[in-house]
Amino acid sequence: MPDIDVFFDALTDEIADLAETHLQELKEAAVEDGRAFLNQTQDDLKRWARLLEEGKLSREEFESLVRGQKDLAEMEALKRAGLAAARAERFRDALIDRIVGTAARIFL
Amino acid sequence: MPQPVRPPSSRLLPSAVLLGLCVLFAAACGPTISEFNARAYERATSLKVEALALMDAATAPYAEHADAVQQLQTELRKALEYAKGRPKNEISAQQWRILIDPERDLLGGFLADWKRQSSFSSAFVEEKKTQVARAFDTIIELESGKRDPDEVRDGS
Repeated sequence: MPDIDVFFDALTDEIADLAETHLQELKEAAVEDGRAFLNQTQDDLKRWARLLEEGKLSREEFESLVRGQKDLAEMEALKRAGLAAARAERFRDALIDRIVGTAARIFL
Repeated sequence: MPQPVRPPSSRLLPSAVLLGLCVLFAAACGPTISEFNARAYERATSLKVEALALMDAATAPYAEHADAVQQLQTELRKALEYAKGRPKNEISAQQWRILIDPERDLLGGFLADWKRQSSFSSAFVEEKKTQVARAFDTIIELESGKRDPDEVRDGS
């Protein structure tokens, strides 16, 4: 009789491998995106401050840009959350494939 | 004492049941986000181009472009309604709300301020265009990052 423990041991390895790949990619993408957004915002704020000093932007326009950056950050966060959800679903699909594949290899 | 011999089918039954439960458990976690929608993607890219083109004109008095602004606002509201109408699409719908809200400071706020102030400086228009373009990009990138319908499992 096929050993159920063998199935679970094999499945545990498969899931660990799968989770490591998916979660690592997700983490790296999130960190990279966050860093890029912060760097971009820093550059933007410096440029807007200079334009304000030079009189090319009014106070109201400067403030609108700063507030707009906050709204943009919110949209970026929503994008990140949505992409994470899509990736979680790909992970789930891959998980089902691994369960079925591992079972077929051990039991059939 | 000899053990009774079970037929092979009954020996495999617990394993099959367990396997079935594993798959059912994984599959039972329904989708949390909509799949990719080509129409939504095209609408977002097209509106981005139209919006940025109209923003270019915002150094001129609002009255000269009032009709075009109203037309764009209508198209933006349609895009929001379309996003709201798609199942499991709340994240994208919320992005559209932020983008077009006249009380916020992206495209909706820009168009509302244009009407109030009549015109903007060219520096502001350029900077706000960059900001609005990035805002559209968050919508477009999220849509293109969703699973393709071909990837989606039947029944999930």
